[in-house]
Amino acid sequence: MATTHSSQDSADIYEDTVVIRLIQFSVLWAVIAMTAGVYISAELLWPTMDFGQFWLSFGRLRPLHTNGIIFGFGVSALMATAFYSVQRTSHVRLFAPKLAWFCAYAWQLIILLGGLSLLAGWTSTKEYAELEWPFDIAIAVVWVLFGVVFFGTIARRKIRPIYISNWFYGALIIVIAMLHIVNNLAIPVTFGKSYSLYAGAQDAVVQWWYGHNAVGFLLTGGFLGMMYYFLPKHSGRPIWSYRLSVVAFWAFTYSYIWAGPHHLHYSAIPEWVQSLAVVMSVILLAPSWATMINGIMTVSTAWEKLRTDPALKFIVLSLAFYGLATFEGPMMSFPSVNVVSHFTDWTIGHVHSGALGWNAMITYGTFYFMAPRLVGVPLYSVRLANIHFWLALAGTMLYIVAMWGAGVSQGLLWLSVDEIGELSFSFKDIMASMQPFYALRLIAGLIFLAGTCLMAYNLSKTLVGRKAVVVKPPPVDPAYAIGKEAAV
Amino acid sequence: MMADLPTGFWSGWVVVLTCVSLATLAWVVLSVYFAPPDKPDAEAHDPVWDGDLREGSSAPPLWWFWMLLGAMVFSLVYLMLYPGLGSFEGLLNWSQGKRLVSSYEIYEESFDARRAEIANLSLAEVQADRALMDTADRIFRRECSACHGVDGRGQANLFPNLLDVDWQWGGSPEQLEQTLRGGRNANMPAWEAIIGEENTVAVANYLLEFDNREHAGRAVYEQSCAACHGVDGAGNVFLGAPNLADNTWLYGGDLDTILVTLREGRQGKMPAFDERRLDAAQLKLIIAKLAR
Ligand code: HEC
Ligand code: HEC
Ligand code: HEM
Repeated sequence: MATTHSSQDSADIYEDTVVIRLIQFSVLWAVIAMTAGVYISAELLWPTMDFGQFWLSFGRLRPLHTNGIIFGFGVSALMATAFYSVQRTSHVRLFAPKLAWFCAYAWQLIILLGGLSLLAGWTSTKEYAELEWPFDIAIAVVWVLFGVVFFGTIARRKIRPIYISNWFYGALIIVIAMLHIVNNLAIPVTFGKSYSLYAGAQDAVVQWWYGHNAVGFLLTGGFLGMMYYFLPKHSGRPIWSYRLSVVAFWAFTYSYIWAGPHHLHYSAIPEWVQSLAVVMSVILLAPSWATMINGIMTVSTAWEKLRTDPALKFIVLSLAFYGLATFEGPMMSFPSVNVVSHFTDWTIGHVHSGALGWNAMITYGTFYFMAPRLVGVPLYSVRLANIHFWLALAGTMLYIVAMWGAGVSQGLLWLSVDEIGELSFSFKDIMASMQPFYALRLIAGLIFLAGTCLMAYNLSKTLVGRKAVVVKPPPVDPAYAIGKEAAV
Repeated sequence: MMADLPTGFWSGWVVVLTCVSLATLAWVVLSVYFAPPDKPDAEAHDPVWDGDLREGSSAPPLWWFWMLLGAMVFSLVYLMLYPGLGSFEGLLNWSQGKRLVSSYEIYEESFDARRAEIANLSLAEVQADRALMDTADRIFRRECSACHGVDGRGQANLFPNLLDVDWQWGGSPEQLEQTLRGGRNANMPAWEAIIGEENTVAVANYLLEFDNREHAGRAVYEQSCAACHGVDGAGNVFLGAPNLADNTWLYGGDLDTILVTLREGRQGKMPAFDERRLDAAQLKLIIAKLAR
């Protein structure tokens, strides 16, 4: 399949250069946004580190960190892997490659300017949707174009059945478009300020319908797409149970959409909404674990590869953290547990077992897998990648343990009363006692960031200055072929 | 149970939507799960994507089926017990509002008697009780320390030190109770507009050497200031006018700060803490901590 001469008719070779560029941007945002994360964790220890500068304050850097990670690092990686895998599973070049390039660059521009606007204090104040209305419109447009490229490619596929990873990427694109547009409906008052169309309890419900499904369809659905392509591809094994993956897809899509209000327990929203969220969150455990099991069983006959290959190690470990986070989530949805966990660092611990353990690790795995194949040379250093693996694992574990410690202490200490019914601890004293946990978290973040920087170095040594290998679609089994090939 | 079922349109809509959704979910999952393999000779005709990607044909494990079934049964039971199906209140008759009320009841049952006792103790009795004084410290840190500092020694030259012997509004238990329950609004007028630049500078300088009765500013003081701050500078607890003859300053005793005080005036505001913010027991504890 892979040929070296580049004087091909470009119509039937994969468009891979845009994938390389997106990987590079993704890594860049990872380094920047994680540095912001490390910086704000230091600020929680030494508050004066904002040096009196508004743009360095916790309140502005935190959304920069979260948006940078989710939309810079995460979405760039999703676009890269979606473009890479949709071509290969459709046996056809990207539909409208120029449009794909436009999406890639327009997205980076949005992240760059959006990040600056956050530093400047522009914010719609909705979590993970902080960017103001001009950015919201730009995001909606680019996202729809991303969909055009993706679904256009699917429409022109040469093989009739649509591979399972594309179902997940497709759900990602459709659902995020819907959530983003509905949640960000607002009345602009100036170029940098708008007011949401929703107020009070309605606003809360819409916001967490968005927030939870941003986690569900972006940080989970999209990344499951990655998993379903790269894991079987890399281990050389078929997906253990294709049928389980289809069942899990529908159960997952069906139940996620309802679960958002578990972010709003004991609030002014109607109780039946809260109860349904509990029920759906519990059901969600089933498809989540089905996916994890499916992935792990897929590599279960390829363990020997796991010992030597850092890319595969990353992907398999990420599944373990996926299982952890999706077990913890339903537990935290029970009102009686949520009473303790809500408003504490437990949530932050939960987020990062997902964010670091699942999202970041699987992305690292796919990058280590794609980079050498894209340019046709071996990875610059497998040793560095192995070191990165251990740094990422150590950083994630330390981060989660520190935040569990902090979060559970906070939750229980806040609730405890003394023998005359007064709170046993003042809020200030509890926060002051969090210093050791925050110090551990800072160290964890530094370790994780160090690993990410190693990867940035390793990948740039592998990619920079090299051209994408020319790859042509392999032939399709005539029994499943569409169009010209079918006739042959 | 029929009587409990909702009748309103929206409530019915929620019930139908929820049940249909759960049933559809179960149907989708089970139909794929238990569907017979499409073709007996699937092996030969499995699609292959990208050279080597295949559909594995392992049957979904049975434990997963039990897991999903468990989740479904849990859902049904949960929706029967708790308010989830439209306006159906659930068999347990649980609601977050009722939970709140019952938490209050449990609280009152457990602590009310003891708290009433505390409210009736004498200050000396409270002060002699280590545990109660610890509680007082915690209440103080929770309610007061944001302004008066973690240790109560004041901060930012805006919030007075509560541990020294100086009281603007008085340190007796009665005066403290008045300060807390009613709040305090100090009013030190802006003087420059009234007495002019020259007199302002003169009296400001006089405050730096209050005992020097020959000072040129003394006359201004007696005329404009003594009414509130007292001829001897000892202040007036009814007006909250502080002692100007001692070395304790709230806003600051250097010439520049005094000049600012005189030019712009000062309106210190201590917020009121009513019954809901500090009940009788808490008030007693706080006063026991502060009174000397
Ligand atoms: C929002 C800030 C704020 C909070 C909270 C606050 N105070 Fe004050 N307090 C002040 C200010 C300002 C003054 C000075 C008023 C003045 O200038 O006369 C003051 C004055 C006082 C005084 C009078 C001091 C004197 O010299 O007479 C007492 C007593 C006092 N506070 C006790 C408390 C206690 C006890 C609490 C907690 C239950 C509390 N304060 C909470 C701002 C606050
Ligand atoms: C109407 C009564 C009144 C008069 C008259 C008055 N003061 Fe005051 N003064 C106050 C009050 C009340 C305060 C406390 C302000 C506060 O706590 O915010 C005060 C505070 C001050 C302070 C700040 C003390 C500190 O600890 O920082 C200075 C200095 C002062 N006065 C000087 C003067 C001088 C000089 C005059 C005469 C020109 C004067 N005052 C006249 C009521 C008065
Ligand atoms: C270097 C590694 C990282 C460090 C040190 C770090 C640190 C932090 C800190 C300090 C916060 C704010 C905590 C608070 O509000 O008290 C935070 C929040 C958050 N981070 Fe990170 N982070 C890192 C990496 C990541 C990654 C890789 C992701 C996602 C892929 C991520 C996603 C998030 C999210 C979603 C939140 C918000 C949680 C909420 O909603 O409350 N972080 N992080």
